[in-house]
Amino acid sequence: MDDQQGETTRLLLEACQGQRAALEALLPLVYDQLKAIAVQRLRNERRDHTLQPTALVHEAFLRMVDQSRVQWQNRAHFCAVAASMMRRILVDHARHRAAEKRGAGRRDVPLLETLGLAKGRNPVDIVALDDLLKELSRLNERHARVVELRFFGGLTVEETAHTLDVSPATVKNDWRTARAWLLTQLSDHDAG
Amino acid sequence: MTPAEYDIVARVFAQVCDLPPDDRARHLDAACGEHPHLRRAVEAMLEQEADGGALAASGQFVPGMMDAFLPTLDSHDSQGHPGYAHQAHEDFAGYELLEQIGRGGMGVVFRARQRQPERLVALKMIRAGKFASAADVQRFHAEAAAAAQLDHEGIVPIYEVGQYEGEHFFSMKLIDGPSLAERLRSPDWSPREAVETLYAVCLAVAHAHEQGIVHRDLKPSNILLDRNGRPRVTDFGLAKLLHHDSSLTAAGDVMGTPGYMSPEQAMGAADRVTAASDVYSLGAILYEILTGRPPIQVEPANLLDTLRKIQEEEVVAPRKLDRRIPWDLDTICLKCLEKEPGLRYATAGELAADLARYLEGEPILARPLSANRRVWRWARQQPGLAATWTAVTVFYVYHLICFWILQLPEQTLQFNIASTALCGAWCLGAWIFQRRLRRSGRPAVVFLWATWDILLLTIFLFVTTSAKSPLALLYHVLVAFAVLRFRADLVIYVTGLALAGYFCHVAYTVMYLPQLALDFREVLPFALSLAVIGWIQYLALRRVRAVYESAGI
Repeated sequence: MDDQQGETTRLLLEACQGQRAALEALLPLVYDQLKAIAVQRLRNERRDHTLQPTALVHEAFLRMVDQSRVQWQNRAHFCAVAASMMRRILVDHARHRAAEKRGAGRRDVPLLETLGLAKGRNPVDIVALDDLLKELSRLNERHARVVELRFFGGLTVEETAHTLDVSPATVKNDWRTARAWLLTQLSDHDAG
Repeated sequence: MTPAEYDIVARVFAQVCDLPPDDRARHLDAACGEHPHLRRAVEAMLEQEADGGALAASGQFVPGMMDAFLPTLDSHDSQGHPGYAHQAHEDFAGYELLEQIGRGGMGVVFRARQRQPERLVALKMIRAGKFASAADVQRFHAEAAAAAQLDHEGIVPIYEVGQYEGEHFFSMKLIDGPSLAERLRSPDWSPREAVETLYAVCLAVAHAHEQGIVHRDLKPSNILLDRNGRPRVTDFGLAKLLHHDSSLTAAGDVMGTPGYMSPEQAMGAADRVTAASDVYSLGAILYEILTGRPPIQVEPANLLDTLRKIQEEEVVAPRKLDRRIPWDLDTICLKCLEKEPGLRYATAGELAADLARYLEGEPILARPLSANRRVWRWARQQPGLAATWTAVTVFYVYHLICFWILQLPEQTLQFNIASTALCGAWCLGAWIFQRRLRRSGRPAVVFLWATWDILLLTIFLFVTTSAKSPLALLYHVLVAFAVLRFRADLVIYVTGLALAGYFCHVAYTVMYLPQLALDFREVLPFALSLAVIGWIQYLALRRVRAVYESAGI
């Protein structure tokens, strides 16, 4: 157990430094933790508590690593990794559901539904959004990061500004522009 | 698109998105005249902002996007704080954590065993652990400090405040029992017992008020019951020291829990929060004790509308929901829930005293709503209906005076019948539309209502001297009235309709009533003033909207 915890801690630190491979390796581990949290929630928690996906991912991270051995560089890095993780989880979830509709799905209950999230049809196509974000990061890296942090990470304007080390006004502006651009592209996508 | 092109599009978009539509076109021509495809891109983006950027201020893409992302009002983890990581049976600062017994706000509470002295305690920590922001830590300490100042059997006492490996915590007496929220769910409770419990809560809160501390988040789940059923108030996480500048709550921060939050809190007016705000919350708890539901129905999906309801909508009287509720409790409860803080009990102590009188069988000090207040409350619940009925009544009384007392010659029988019928239609229409509006709330109802009003006025003028009648001035009144719906499109619509109605009569007068000699010098000022009033209303609404949008609402 301790070995695994050490390994997870190392991966998380690498992910914080921007290594994509580490992020990939972390994903199944985060899934396991989220499942554990979901089971515990369903047993213990009162239902009137609104679940907040980002907080769940954060909780999963904190459980996975040995906190006494980690000196986090700062909260900002942590939030950024959690936002990428959230994006991956939601995109995976959307792909999985699409596959299920075609009859090729796995049998187990989708994780996010267990957590009470992502019920019903989503008004935005998450997979398409993910592709567009990749395109946006080619056009303007910072705009894409703002969207990832605010939308997938659930960070406030101030927290996003702090994470990216820019002013809140810049974040507001970037978000508004990037959002409008993504929405035009999404509607093109729907039409086409 | 290339990165360079995207940069141009982004820059132009940022420049024009806040301009009025007319200026936008001019600016777009100047900025990307020779690149039509970039211009199209910007225009498409502007179209996505048709709501004027209101949604862009939230972190969402489209309305209702992933409702699970919506923050719970009393939960600071909506700001993306990490969850809590401590496990049971962990050692922490001389305590052994046994199990998590609560979480909410920004804290998490464990049942814990203290080593020195050996006892069971409740240990509260910041949920974000080491990642807590400076403001969180400050808030957390403010809570400990507020609770530690209070020494009352009805308030959970604080034992120790400290810090362990960078994490802040405090320990307090462990109350081994359900919260009032859980207790309210079990039906084996007589109303009297419940009122006695609330009385004890009031005494505890009164103690806090005497020390100059306002709790600000009183609700059933923050009131714990010990083994003997005695209530203990806890969670001073939002408490505020009266007469102190509190840098922790900026004006405009909405804090509290919607079902139990006072109107001044819902408004985000931190400086107007006083002991009377706690009285409101206590009244809301009393309401729930009496009726089984909080006074305001909270819609988690529409927080803004819930906040508006708290500020504007009059509460349904408890006795309307359950006739068995004693009149005195109904009166006390409604006095606590007054929208205007000055009309409530000033402190929890005054409320406690009145509850004591009720429990002793003595007459209470709170007076039932007077007839005036009852009418006023009713009028506030349905403003459009009340205004129409008042106006029609005033008109009809005037009409009767003209007809019966002054016996003016032009008051023919035909006119008399027509005006009575129209007054009836007006009142009935208002009643029906108000009901539809309360049920569906769709904008179409407002448009239909306005159409109905103008239609009736236009019909009515045919039995008078048409365009020459002074009653044609009611068109102006209706246009001015439209602004109260806060819809710019409605104002334009009503103005247009009123002008159409008026010119209908101008044509009628010229063709069929030549003896009245309608002159264009009368028509022109009349029509122009109508148009100008409409235009001014429209501009005023636009300005209000712009203010709201810049505030990010």
